[in-house]
Amino acid sequence: MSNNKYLIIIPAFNEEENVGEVLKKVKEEANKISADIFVINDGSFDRTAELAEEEEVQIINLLTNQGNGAAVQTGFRIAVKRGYDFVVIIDADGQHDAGNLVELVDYAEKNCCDMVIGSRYLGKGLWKYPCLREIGVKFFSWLVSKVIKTKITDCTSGFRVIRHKVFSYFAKGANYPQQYPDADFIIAVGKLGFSIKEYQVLMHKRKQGLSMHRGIIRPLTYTLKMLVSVLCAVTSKRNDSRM
Amino acid sequence: MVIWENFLAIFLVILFLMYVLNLVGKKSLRVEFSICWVIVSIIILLGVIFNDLLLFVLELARQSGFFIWTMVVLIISMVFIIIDLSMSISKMKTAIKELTQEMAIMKFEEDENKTVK
Repeated sequence: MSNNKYLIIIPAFNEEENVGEVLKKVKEEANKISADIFVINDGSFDRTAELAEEEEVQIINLLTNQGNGAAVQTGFRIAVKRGYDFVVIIDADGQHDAGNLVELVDYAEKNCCDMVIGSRYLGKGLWKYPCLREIGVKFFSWLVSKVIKTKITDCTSGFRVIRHKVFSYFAKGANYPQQYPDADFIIAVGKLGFSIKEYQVLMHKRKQGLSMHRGIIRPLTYTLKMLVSVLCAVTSKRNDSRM
Repeated sequence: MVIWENFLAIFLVILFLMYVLNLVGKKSLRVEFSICWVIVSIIILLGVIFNDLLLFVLELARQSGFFIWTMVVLIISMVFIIIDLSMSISKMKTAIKELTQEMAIMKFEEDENKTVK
């Protein structure tokens, strides 16, 4: 690895059942690249913060639940303040295999990418979503690919490596989507002229706890919000290639 | 409704929809608050397309004289008031998010400094 500084951001909301195990695995990988770890506790009302503290990682506690995007953006702000070169975002629910962390970072550096998305669809992924959700992911990934003219297979993957010039832009104000930074965020990054690539990663089914996309109403709401958000991202005038 | 009135109505609805999306694009309106307006636009569009049914309902109320026009003005006013409120709520939510993040970071740094000392 080079002399770059790496920060691993783990947004967490009510993940007491998963966070301990996730942190153990992430710490193991983080040591290989001397990365720092920040857990962003997004207003959890279970023992997420307490269990994260037991793993002796740094924790930032948001007083109230602000959404996954807001939690990640908090991590971006810390990364900008402390001069990190790369951030790695990994979920606290155990779906992202921490074993791919170093490979993802290595791929980003060697290929000079501004953002690398860990995709479950590029080969290794053993587990995929249920049918309807799978259709949704495929649809939005297709849409994103058409808009930014880069093949994206997994636009909803939260497992990402992001370079300083990208996260420093999205650390400000309302630039970063507060709730679901998925397809709309990728389109925004692409339209700003940053390079985006994907790398195959292993994903697991959530073992415990509740998904934020559970039930029928939540996925429907997500789909509607994402459609509107994507439409706005596509029609926005943010084509700033000076970044 | 004659055909040109149909087209005009459809055009106005689409214009309204574009206005809502523009507000979202300029971050004056949050995505979640735009959903109801998107749905309202679709309902109005359906009302225009299936205007026979709509006319039947209006005919029932026609006997009230000025009732219809008063209701129309009121409804339009309500729409603009609610849009304005939605924009305010959107701004406040963003501000709350910013404050929450800033407070969390400040608290973390304060605790960190205490540990160092």
